[in-house]
Amino acid sequence: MPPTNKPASDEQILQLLRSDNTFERGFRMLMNVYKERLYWHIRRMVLVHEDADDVLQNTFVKIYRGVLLFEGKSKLYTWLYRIATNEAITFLQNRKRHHASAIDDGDNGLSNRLRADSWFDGDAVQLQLQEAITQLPDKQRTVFNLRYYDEMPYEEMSRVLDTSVGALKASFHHAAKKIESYFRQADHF
Amino acid sequence: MIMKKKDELHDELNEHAPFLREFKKADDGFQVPDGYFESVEDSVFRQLEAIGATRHAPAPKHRPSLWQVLQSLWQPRIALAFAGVLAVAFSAWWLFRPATDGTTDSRTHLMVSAEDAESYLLENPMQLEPEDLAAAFPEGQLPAITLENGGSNTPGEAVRLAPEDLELLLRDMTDEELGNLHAL
Repeated sequence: MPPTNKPASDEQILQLLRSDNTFERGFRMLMNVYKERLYWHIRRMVLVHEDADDVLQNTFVKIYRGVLLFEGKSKLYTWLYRIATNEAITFLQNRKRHHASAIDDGDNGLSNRLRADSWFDGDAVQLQLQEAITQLPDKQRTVFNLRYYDEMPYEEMSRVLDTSVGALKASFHHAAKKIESYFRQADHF
Repeated sequence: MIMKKKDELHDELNEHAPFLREFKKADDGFQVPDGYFESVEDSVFRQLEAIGATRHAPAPKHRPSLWQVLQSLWQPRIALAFAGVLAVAFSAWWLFRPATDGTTDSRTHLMVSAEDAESYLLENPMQLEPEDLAAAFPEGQLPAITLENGGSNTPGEAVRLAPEDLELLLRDMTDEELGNLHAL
């Protein structure tokens, strides 16, 4: 396949993955196309770069192991987002369990880690927005991030999260209200 | 398409959370190290090699053979259930099977011809109660009983015995039976 600047299509990637001889090339191509989107999705869930890097690596390991089982019933990126979301939520839950007996809870720990992250240079308002998002339950946080940052249509989000469109809209609405309430309490309005 | 998606989100934020629309215009503050994304592929492959990750191959799609279907059915529960059904079927056959000794199955009597039954009744009149004998034959069709000396009688007719037969009969009777005769 001649080198080109045009990103490879899912069909091209899957074609390469089906043969042992071209699997590695196909997998590199998959990572090249999707690594940034998946990274930012994971980063907004776990906030800290080092954690996002770990989760992204684990996500690609899972994809490597299971990509031949992908049956093509959904879009490839829907399947990839689902794996990345599960990995990020599992990571957050494990960390919450790990910090359960600590003085601060998992969510405050998350915002503290964000403050200490050298790869975050947001201002006070951006920091507060991230703190507000960390107060949301994991699933609601995922819905908010997918809609607000990734601008994913509800129909696709429904396939990623196995949830009805109506429930996702309600979840986003509640998340937005909670964030607004968080800011009101901090007298930002 | 992208513009439409943006418009939808814009409208949604206007409706539910206008302040979030303002935040979205600014940079979110997240950064990555220089060259990070260029190194992701190599880093992932190093990890795959370190943990010895293998790919899960999809199961071959083929129609299962008859033997495979039978094997899949041959589970302990199914085998036990099958054995139970066989046991019940065998018990039912055992209970309702045709009798071979002719002593317990009432259907054996149905196989005796009318002539045989009549012969039996006529040869063993003393083993049956008079009511049974009457029930065995329709009224008016009671056959004549042939005695050993070749005589016969009809219902209601007195039995006539030859003198020598009567003598033999009296000789075989016990004292008690003779007493009973006097009582009559």
